[in-house]
Amino acid sequence: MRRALIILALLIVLVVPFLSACDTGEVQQLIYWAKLWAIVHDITDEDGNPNAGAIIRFAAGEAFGLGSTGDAEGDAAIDAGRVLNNMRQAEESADQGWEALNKGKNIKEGVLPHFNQAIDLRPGDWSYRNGRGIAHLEDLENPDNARAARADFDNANAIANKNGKPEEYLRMLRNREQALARLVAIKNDEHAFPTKEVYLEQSSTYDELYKLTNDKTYLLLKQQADTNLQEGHYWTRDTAS
Amino acid sequence: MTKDTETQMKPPRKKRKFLVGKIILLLFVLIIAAGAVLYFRVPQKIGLIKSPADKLFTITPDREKASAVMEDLKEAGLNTKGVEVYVLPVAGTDHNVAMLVLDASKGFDFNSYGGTDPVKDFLTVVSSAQQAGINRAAVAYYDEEGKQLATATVPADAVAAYSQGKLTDRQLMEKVDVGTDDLWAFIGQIQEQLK
Repeated sequence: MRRALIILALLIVLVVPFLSACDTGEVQQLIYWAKLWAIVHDITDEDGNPNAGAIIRFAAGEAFGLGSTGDAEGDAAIDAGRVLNNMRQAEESADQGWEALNKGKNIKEGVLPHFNQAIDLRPGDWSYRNGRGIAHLEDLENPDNARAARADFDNANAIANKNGKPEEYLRMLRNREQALARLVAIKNDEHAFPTKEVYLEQSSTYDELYKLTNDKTYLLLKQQADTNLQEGHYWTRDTAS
Repeated sequence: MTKDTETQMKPPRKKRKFLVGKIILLLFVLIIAAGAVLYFRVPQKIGLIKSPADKLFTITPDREKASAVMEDLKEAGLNTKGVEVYVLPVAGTDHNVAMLVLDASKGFDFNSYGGTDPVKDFLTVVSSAQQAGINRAAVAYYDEEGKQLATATVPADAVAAYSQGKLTDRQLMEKVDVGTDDLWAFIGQIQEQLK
C-alpha cells in the first residue's frame, strides 16, 4: 500500500472543489492542510492548479510500488494495512476470549478457540500466549491444564526474549501479572474463587517481577497470593469424580 | 539464383517475420504481466518479499503507551467511538510508531469531532506522545464496510519542532506522507462523509 502522493493528486483535482462548499470550521481547516500539502509536494501550484507532470510521475511510480517516503518507518506506517488488519482481528479474538473466560464459559469450547485464532493471526505476539496460558490455568476439566499453561508461558517468555531487550521481557511479565490480577479481581467481585494454579502462577510472576525490578509492591502482592493459597481460597479439580 | 530457389527462400522469410511478431507479442504480454504482478503486490502477498511493515512491526504492541495516547485524544476532544490506538515497537530499534485507527464501520464519524482544528489537535497529542518514546504517528481510515482506505504519517520530531514554533505549516506538511490502496473508494468516501 505505497501510493503516497497519488491520493492527494486526484483528491485535489476531484474533491477539493466539492469540499470548498462545506463551511464548518473543522472542514475548512482540513481543506487548508490538504491544499498546503498539495502545494509543498508540487501536486498543485499556489493557485490550486494541478501540476500534470508531477501527478503522472507520482501516479506511475507509486502505482507500481516504486515510491518511498525516504524513511523505512514511514514506508512501514504507510504500508501497515495487512499487519494492522491482522492485529485488529487478533485483538478482537483475544477480547472475545477474555470475555468468555470472565463469564465462566467452558474453557475448551468457549474460550480457547478465540485465543487460538489470535495466536494464528499473530504468532509473534506474546500477549495472546499469556492469555491462553491463563485460560488453561482455569480449565479444571483438563487434567493436563498446568502443563499446557506452562508451555504457553514458556513460549511467551521465549518470544519476549527473542530480541534481547530486558524491557521487552519485563513488559511481557507485567502483561501476565496484570491479566492474572484482573481475573482474580473479577472472580472476587462475583464472590467466586480462581483455581489454585492461578494463585501459584501469580505468586511466581510477582516473585520474578520483584527480583527484576526490586519494587516492594510486587513482594507484597506475592505475599497476598501466597496467603490465598495457604488459606485455601481457590477451586481445585474434583478428584472424586 | 534460379526461379525455383527464389520460391524456396520466400516461406522462411515469412516464418521469420511471424516468429519475430510472436516474440514481440510475448514480450508485450510479459511486460503487462510483470506490471500486474508489481501493481497487485503479488510477491508480498505470497510471502516472497516482506513488506516494510512485515519487517519492522514484528513485536507485540505496547498497550500501556496506546492507552496513554487514547486518553490524550479524549482530552483533545476526539469522540473515540470507532477509534483505536496501537503503539507498534519497531524491530531492532528503540522507536515506536503510534497508529491511530479511525473506523467508520465501528461508529467513527468526522462530523462528531468536538474541536476546531482536528489536525492541530492531533499534532498536540503526537507532540506529547513523543515524550513517551513515540517517534512517528500515523492515522489509518477505514470506511463503513471496514475496509482500510488511507493512511497518513508524520515523524514525531517534526511535530515537536512545529509545536515549538521551529517549523512553519508548510515545512511541517513537507514531512507528511499519505497513501491509499483504493483511491476511488477513498474519494467517494470523502464526498459521502461531507454531504
